[in-house]
Amino acid sequence: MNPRRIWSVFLVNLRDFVRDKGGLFFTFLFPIILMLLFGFIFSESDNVTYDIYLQDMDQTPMSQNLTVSLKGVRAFEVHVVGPDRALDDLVEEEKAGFIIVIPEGYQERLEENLQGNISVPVNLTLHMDRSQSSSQVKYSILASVVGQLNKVLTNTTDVMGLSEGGTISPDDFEYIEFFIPGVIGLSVMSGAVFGTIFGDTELKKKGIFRKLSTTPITRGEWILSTMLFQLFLAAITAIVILVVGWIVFGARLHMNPIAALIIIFEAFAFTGLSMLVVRFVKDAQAAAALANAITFPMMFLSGSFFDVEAMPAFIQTIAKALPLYYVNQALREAMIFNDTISAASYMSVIAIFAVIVFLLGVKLTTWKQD
Amino acid sequence: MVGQLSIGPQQGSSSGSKPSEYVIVIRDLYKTYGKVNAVDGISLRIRKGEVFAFLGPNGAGKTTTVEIIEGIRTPTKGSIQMLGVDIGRGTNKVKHRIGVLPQEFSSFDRVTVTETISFFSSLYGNKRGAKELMKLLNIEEHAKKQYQKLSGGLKQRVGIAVSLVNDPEIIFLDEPTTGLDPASRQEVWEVIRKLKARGRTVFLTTHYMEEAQELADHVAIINRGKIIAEGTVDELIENHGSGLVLTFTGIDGKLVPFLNGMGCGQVQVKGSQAVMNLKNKDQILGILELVKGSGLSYRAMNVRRSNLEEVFLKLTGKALKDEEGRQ
Repeated sequence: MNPRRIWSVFLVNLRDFVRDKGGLFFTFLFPIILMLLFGFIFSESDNVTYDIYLQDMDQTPMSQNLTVSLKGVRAFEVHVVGPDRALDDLVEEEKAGFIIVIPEGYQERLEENLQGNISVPVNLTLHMDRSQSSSQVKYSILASVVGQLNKVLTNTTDVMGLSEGGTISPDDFEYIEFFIPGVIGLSVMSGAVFGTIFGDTELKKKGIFRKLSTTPITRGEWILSTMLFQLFLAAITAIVILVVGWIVFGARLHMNPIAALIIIFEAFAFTGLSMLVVRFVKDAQAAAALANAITFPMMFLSGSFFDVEAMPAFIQTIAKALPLYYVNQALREAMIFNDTISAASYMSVIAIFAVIVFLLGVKLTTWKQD
Repeated sequence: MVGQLSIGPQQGSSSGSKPSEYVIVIRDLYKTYGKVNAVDGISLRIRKGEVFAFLGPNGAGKTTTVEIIEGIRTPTKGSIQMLGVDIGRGTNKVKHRIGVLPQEFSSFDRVTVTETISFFSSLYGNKRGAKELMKLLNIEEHAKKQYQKLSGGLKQRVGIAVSLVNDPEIIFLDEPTTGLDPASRQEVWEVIRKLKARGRTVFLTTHYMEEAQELADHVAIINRGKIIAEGTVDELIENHGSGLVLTFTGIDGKLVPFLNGMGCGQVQVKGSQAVMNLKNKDQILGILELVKGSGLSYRAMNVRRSNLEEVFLKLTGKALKDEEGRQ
């Protein structure tokens, strides 16, 4: 390994990169835009209200009471519709996806039940569009409202309850603070993968690899230099994201040595992986397809945007086979919770991966033609 | 540094006291892809200080052969000695002493000419100034331009500059003038002449006959992976050419039968031209005398030597193959 040659390659890559406006945009501006978009969408989530439609077929004091109670639920925006409105119309014209119907005779039967002659409860009829993801949430809220009303009406006392006994995490964190490590992990990965795959394909096409193979530089030197260059870009990307996150959202994350180490291993791992697979690529189109094939599934399955634990079990299993999952977990442990030991254990996976791909890269890749 | 160069470092690499005259010796080289022999038993020797032109039609195996010698590809079989070193196990030992311009080479788009030359120079651990090379290639005024903004001819000259950063003893130029306009081609030729004048060996791959005729001391023609002719340009024309070519333009219809009647060989008619291939100048003088006496008319006549183009066509048998194809 000759440090001067490694530095020369680094420098020539840097010059070529900083003069490329398109490349600069995708490397630095894209993650910022992504973060701003997600940040604004999800940081508003405290004030979310759900639209529900209510049709009162009973029109009695008790049904009026129920209407008032539902209107009092902060999470609901209740639209009351007249008893003569056809439900189909409602769905068609108002795009109603969640309709509660208070049946005729509601008050009468409720009174009977309250006098102790309970046969069957009075059911509110629900019409809901199950394809809407919010329907489940609306149903849960409604069920708890009904439960509360039952308790009040029957005058029962709770035997079990919930009380807040303090938060489990050492720090309270908001979605944006959860999200920023994800954006860093994602940006470093896509920067390394796209940068390496497109860069190498172009160098191959230009005959620069053929040329280099006739000069004294070794493949090891080339690979190391390219990895260092990608790491340099990754470091800048991470810093830019952190600064923008702090300025715009006031996100406070821990910047500790372990977080830096995770980013180093991540940049090395994905640059190495890309160098390994890029040899099967013939042209720019295939390069784009390959880069997308690597980054796309990981972007959605590795918990960059949402916690993997919230996903179905089989997806969790897939996620645990993806390197980016370990990066995300490690970065969150380090940056949100400042938990070095936990972060290090996730990081060890990505570190081993990085070492393996580097060694394989040196061994398997070649500038030689067949 | 102009004039004689020593034959590289004398580190006991050349056997005995007699310095090897040949800088490249190739014996029985094969490269097989599946069942096809892209290089089919080539043997060649290239002398120190000569411009060697490797000619062949597209797909003949030129670039494959050169890339094996340069160390970009590995041969299936055969041996190559370069600068006294057996490069069967790779070119590492001679990389510092050779310079390569690969076919269709282009450099980093947004890096300037000076930066490009300095980058490649640094790979050899050299501090050889880019200035000197830019002067040699006459590209000083473009020093600060990005590579992508250069014309094709300038790009090619930068490529040659890059192949010279380590002051190599042997320079491989693979199709250096392909796609260039005539003026740029002349400039590249001028550089090759300068290199020769400085005692460097140039291994030139080309499919332009004119280029070989213009520059080469020694030519080898490859077709279907085999060397089908080798020698100096003069030797090739002498041995495989058709001697002298006499052409009458704007001919009288009766001139062709008259010329045929002389028994000096077949007359080819190309439009209003009559072309005869002749062995020596006495025959030509005789024919002109007879034509003059006959009173038959023609507009103009000219005599020229057979050229490499004709040798090439004859040897690679293109015209012959076309006829076979029709039969």
